[in-house]
Amino acid sequence: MRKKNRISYAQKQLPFSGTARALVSPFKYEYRAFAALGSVLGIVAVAYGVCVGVSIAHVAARAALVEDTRALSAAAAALEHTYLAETRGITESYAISLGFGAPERRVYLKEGSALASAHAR
Amino acid sequence: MRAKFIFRIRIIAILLVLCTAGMLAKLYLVQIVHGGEYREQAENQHITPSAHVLDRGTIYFSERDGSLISAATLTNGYTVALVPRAVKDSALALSVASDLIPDIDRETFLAKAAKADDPYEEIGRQYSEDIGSAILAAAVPGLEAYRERWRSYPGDELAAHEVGFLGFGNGTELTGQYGLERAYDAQLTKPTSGLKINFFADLFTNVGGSLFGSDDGPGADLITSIEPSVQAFIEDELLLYQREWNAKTVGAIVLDPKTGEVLAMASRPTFNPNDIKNARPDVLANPMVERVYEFGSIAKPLTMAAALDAGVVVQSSTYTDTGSVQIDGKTISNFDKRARGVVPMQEILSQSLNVGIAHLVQKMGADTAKEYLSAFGLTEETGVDLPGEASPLVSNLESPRTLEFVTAGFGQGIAVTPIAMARALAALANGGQLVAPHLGIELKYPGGATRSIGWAPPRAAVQPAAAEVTTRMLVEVVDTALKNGKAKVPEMSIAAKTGTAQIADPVHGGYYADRYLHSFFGYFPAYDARFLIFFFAVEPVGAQYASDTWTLPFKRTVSFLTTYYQVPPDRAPITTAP
Repeated sequence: MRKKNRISYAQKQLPFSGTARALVSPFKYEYRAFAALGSVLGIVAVAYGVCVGVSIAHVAARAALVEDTRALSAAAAALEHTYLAETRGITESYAISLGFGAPERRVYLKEGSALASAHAR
Repeated sequence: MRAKFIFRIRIIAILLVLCTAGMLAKLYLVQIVHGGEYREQAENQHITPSAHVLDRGTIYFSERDGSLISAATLTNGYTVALVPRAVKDSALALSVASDLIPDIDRETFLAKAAKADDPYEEIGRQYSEDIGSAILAAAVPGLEAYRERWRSYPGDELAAHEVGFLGFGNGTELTGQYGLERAYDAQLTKPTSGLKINFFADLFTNVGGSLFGSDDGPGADLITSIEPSVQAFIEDELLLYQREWNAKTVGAIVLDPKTGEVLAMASRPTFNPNDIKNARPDVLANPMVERVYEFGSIAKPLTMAAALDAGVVVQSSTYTDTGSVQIDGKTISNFDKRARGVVPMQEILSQSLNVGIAHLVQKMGADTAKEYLSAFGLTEETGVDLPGEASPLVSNLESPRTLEFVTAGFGQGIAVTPIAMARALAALANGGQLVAPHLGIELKYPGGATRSIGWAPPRAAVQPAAAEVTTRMLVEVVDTALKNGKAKVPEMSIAAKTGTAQIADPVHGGYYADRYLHSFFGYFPAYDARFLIFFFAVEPVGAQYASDTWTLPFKRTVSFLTTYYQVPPDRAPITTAP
């Protein structure tokens, strides 16, 4: 048995004359189309709201992190300044002043030889 | 009638759908395609204080073990200022300010505070977090502290010419003015503040960039090959040299001849990029890349390598040295004008004989000599990643005469940058392969992504055999000739050569009789070189020859690098088990 198309009351009232042709022909999925469109819009609205909320939280968290990072990088820069200045003070003359000196006698061993292995530390 | 009404409703509905589609398309264009431009415009209007906060990638030195130390970074602090019309008790404001800032000028401070209608008078900038926080905590009416961020250079003068500095130049934006700051300005620049105030814009910002690409880079950190301890050592050596010999300009380069990575590059006089307002303008340019010099006899090994490569001589070849020789109507003489008789090729380098070089160039011919000068990169810029590289002055090589190629063969008559000469000499240490000298190794982007900086692959200047024979001859120079062999290091093969060049007189033409440029280069371990060291000094006073002024600094540098990098000896007498 052929299923009968269900149409709305308003559509029933339309004079489906031939003059308007396709533009005024009945659209049997009108209800479903509007329902689907409405559902999609609802989902998009909720998703947008969620995204905006997440974005706010993300930006707020990042603001705090950026601030922390800047403070830490400034502290690191100060430490690096001190480190580089101290490093320049480590010179041969400083080492000599501490009692270091060049070895008086050197013995050279071939890398990987038995003698070198025996003296390896 | 009713049909007409329905028809119109449908038409209106279709128009509405088209309008919506149009608006969506426009939103797509505005927010995604052109989002970056609109965001910049909007932020400039509404969040100016945030957008103008300096944000820029860090430049790093690379230590021996691969750890990174900032060469240029950002520092946070405060600007301290008065709002005179809000000051109620200037004595109290002065008391609080002077407790925290001892060097404050009291009279100037009170004069500024007395300008009753003035909305802003700056006391000072770049104060520490502690000082700024204390001023804010004191809450003295009219005494304010504003957050500030500035570029700082933790090494002060360390590699100042190479790192460069930020400045306004001729514009209103802080940009790199010299050195790596300028060469990598586009990569280091972060186009927007790290913190977005408009989170809607933030939502779409990265979508557009990632989908469609953007001309604005995200702002990267630059990792360089400069090793801070080697750099500091070299700078100390240059300081000692300048004090002892009172040279107008001194410079040095330490590079890895196999990769072209510059481990240290320094010159004096120099400046402190943290105190750029007190720097002499004439010392800001980097002489290692922005000046050209005639380097003299350190070019002789290049000529020797070319002659060996061209096959016109072999190491055991001899020639008759007459002390001077006429070429194209001009006399070319040895430095002491003394004849040596029949001598082997080794003596050309060991005794630095100009007549020997003339012999080699004449045997090669001008065209071949020119080809080799080009092969060693002396007729072009090196492409080093530092700004303002000078072009070599090699117009003499257009001459049809042999004379110009003879003088070029011993380093006179053509002028090149120190980095170009160091690169050419590095080819001898690298089996004849010419590398691209560079300081930048890697760009590190936010989020952890890294990109290696690509450099031109090595190209052959001479065959490996020619480079090896030349190296052997240069080792002999160090072991027997340089300071009569006193520069020899028994356990390490070192190849080196000095250069003493006359300095051109730009006013009267010709050369000064009493002004010299001293240069020195060497590499070690000679047959598997890890380091090439290059020194030069303009007009040192008190010694005529480069061997008198540079031998000791060179030896100390070799000793330092050997110890610091734990370079094993390559020719030491081996102790065997009894």
